[in-house]
Amino acid sequence: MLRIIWKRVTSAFLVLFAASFFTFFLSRIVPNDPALAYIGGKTTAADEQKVRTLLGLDQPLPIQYFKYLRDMLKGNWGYSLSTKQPVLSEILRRLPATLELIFFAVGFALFLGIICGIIAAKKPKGFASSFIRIAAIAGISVPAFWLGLLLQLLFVGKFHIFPATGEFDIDIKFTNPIHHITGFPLFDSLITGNFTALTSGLKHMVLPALTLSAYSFGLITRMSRGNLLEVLGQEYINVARANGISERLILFKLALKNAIPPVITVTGLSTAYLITGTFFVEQVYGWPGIGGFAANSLISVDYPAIMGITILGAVGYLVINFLVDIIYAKLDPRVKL
Amino acid sequence: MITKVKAGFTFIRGDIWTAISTFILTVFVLVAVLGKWILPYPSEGTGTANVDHLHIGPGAAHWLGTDELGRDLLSRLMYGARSVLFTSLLVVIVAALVGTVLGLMAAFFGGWIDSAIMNISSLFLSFPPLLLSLVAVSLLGPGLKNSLIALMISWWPWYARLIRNEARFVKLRPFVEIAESMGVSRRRIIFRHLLPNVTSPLIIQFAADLGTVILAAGSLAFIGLGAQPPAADWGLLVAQGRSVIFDQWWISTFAGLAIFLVVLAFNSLGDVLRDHFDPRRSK
Amino acid sequence: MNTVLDIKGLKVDFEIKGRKISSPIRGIDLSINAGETHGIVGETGCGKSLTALAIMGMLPANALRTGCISLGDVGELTPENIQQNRGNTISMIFQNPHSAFNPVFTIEQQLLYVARAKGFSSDESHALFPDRLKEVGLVEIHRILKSYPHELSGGMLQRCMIAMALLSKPKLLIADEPTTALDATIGGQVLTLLKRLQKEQGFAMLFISHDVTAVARVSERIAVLYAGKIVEDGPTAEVLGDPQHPYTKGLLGAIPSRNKARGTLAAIPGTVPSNTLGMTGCAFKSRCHLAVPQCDEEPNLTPHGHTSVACWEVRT
Repeated sequence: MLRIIWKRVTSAFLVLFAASFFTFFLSRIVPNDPALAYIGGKTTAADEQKVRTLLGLDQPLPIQYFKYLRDMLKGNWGYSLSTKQPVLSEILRRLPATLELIFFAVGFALFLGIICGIIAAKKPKGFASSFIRIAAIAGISVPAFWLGLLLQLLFVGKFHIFPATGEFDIDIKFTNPIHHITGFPLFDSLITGNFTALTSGLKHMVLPALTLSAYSFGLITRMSRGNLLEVLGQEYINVARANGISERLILFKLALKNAIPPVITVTGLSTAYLITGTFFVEQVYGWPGIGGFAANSLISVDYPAIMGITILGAVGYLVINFLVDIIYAKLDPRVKL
Repeated sequence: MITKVKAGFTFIRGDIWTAISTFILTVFVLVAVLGKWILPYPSEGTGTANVDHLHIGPGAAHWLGTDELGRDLLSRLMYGARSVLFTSLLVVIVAALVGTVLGLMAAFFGGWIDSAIMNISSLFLSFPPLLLSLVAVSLLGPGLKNSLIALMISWWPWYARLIRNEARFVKLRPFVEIAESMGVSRRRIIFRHLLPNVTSPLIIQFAADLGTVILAAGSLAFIGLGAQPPAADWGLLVAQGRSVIFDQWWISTFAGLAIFLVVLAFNSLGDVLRDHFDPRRSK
Repeated sequence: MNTVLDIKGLKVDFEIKGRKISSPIRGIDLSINAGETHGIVGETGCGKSLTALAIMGMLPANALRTGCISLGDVGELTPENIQQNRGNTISMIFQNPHSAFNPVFTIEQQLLYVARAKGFSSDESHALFPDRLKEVGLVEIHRILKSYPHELSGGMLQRCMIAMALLSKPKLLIADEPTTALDATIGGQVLTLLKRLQKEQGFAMLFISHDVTAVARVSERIAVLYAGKIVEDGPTAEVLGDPQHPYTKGLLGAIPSRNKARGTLAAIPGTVPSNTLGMTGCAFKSRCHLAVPQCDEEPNLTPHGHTSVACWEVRT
């Protein structure tokens, strides 16, 4: 087990190295002058030079890169050009909101996806099955940003059920402020018994989570259905039937455990895809998470922030893949880590 | 020839959903190719504003309504189809070409070439999809050309890895060894033996990727990093309609619907191809 | 005589949208007494495994079964009562032990599922398993119970499968090619095991195989199946020692054996018909060297000494 972790950590470092190199490289060869971007506006040449020295931009490139790597490992990820705050703290501040959003999105996709997969596998030729298959392809084909807008149009604009943007009602901060224990707003409001905030949060969560879950739902449904069908055709299912085990037990216990592991893999894959999905969904819904921050950083070419986001993205992807591998090995005894 | 066409028809007709997808794609390609000549409102489609016709919803004169500059939305969408189709084709073709060549080389030569190519590909692939494109576009500067370059950069590793694995599988088969031992030239082996056997996974990936790239390019445009106004890129149109979504809902809705339908059709086609070429592989 | 299994006029048709597309089983009569083994031999495609599935009520959805299958005290087996009887009064063991077990559960867990389906409680089961596994000749019982299928050998798995089938002490055991996927020596051990268990527990056994020698070792009676019908049926020694039906003769003549003189192996010309739909008369007539015009009429099983033969050319 330790050997696996070691292997992962070393390849993780390689990836992060590559990530930082990639962003650093691109940021230095492009025409935009980082110094100007930082100051942004009417300045004198002397000011520009001061900024340049301040940001260390007058040093030779390899030294800049080395300094950057060293700082990064120390926890200094630079300062965001737009907010002027340390990048790392900006990211950490916004992380919980995004993590909660991803949690709900993936949870919903898994729940509905597996159920649909089971329904479609039980009666492969039926109408429900065809409908579910199309819904799955639709899920992977729908543009997240468009779906978000559409849902807003319908449920906010037309039906007035859900709120349009934000994570909570604005006045919650005053009327029922959340006591932060873990730093995760919804979770904290749950464990502190702050139900007004909780309901407000949940109401705000519905549309963004639904939007974000579409892609995962599609992949999970497809994989569940396909896999379950294949498993149900296996000899050992027939043998179980011959031994008098009920169809229900066969489906939910014996078949499912075989069909699930690849579904986990696919969930992990789509969660990674979701990371970039949040860039769009959070923008549409004004969600105060990393996605919105990333989107703004990309548009305003905020180099330190972009590099921070890239590192974070790569790390997140690695962690997810690692978790997937562990869960897969736990479920399938034939697989050795 | 007739039998092939007939076979093609049964292949498509077998499933009503496949038929719908094929229909959508045919319409899409026709509109993209015929472009300017079939627009209901040619000048508006290509960008001329018509300030008299602002805020018109879907109706008889303008089937999909007009956009925020009074231009007929249907014409704008039809005009944009060309850019959508050809840009994604370009990206996928280039990525597939580069990736296939590298993949074949890696599979055939093995050794350090294989390691080098595969490690570089893995590095690219260890980032969440689309992230590299987004970062590249941001740093290169917004615009259609840069967004295409960014997409190509992040797409080729998929092909390299896919082709390399498929080709290696083929290469292990005896007939390649036999060819080699008979002195067939390397180039011939690659093109005459390895390549034909990797075409089917290549085609499947190609079809599916067309849809995915359209989605990615649209997303880039939506966020402001892709095609810029006054282009008629569909993602861009969705973004433009966003500020007036609650009043003039038709702009974002129909532009996004166009993306959705086309991507849906491509993905369905990819599925059908996958079933056709290799029903062994699980969906 | 205690008749356990009684099959009368079993026919199975496959249909699509109400239209018959094939008749893999065209009329089988069979009965087995307690403590007795009846073998079924035939080539691939003659309908052996389908017969087993028909008895178990596990035919595919588009299959239409007619005829009467009854089991000892239980009476006629119908779609309504078959599920209770499965794994209870009738059990089945299959050909490939590796694919017969669920790869993600331990042997113990899988046995537990079966035991619980029979109404055993958890505690009763845990007390029961070691004895049952010992019965089938396994040692290292604790290790085997905690193992996953891919960690065990084919022979071990086949014994586990037998233990699993016999958990509820069934009245009838159907064995569908149980030794085909095993090495010769292991297969031999399994056959001996089955015979011993039968003597101890007194169940009736239906032994299906294309391997005539295996069938001969365990069965008191043998039925030869061709194209969905029994063409010869009788005590093993007589059917194998003095075969009457031309197909049986051909089948036995094609077996390599130490006792035969050197020479070429006889082969029956032609192949088993893949679909008997629309066929009239004896299904073997196109391959039979004794065929006469009367063979255009289907011959029925008629007694000939101690055996029954379905052939016009066999004079009583």
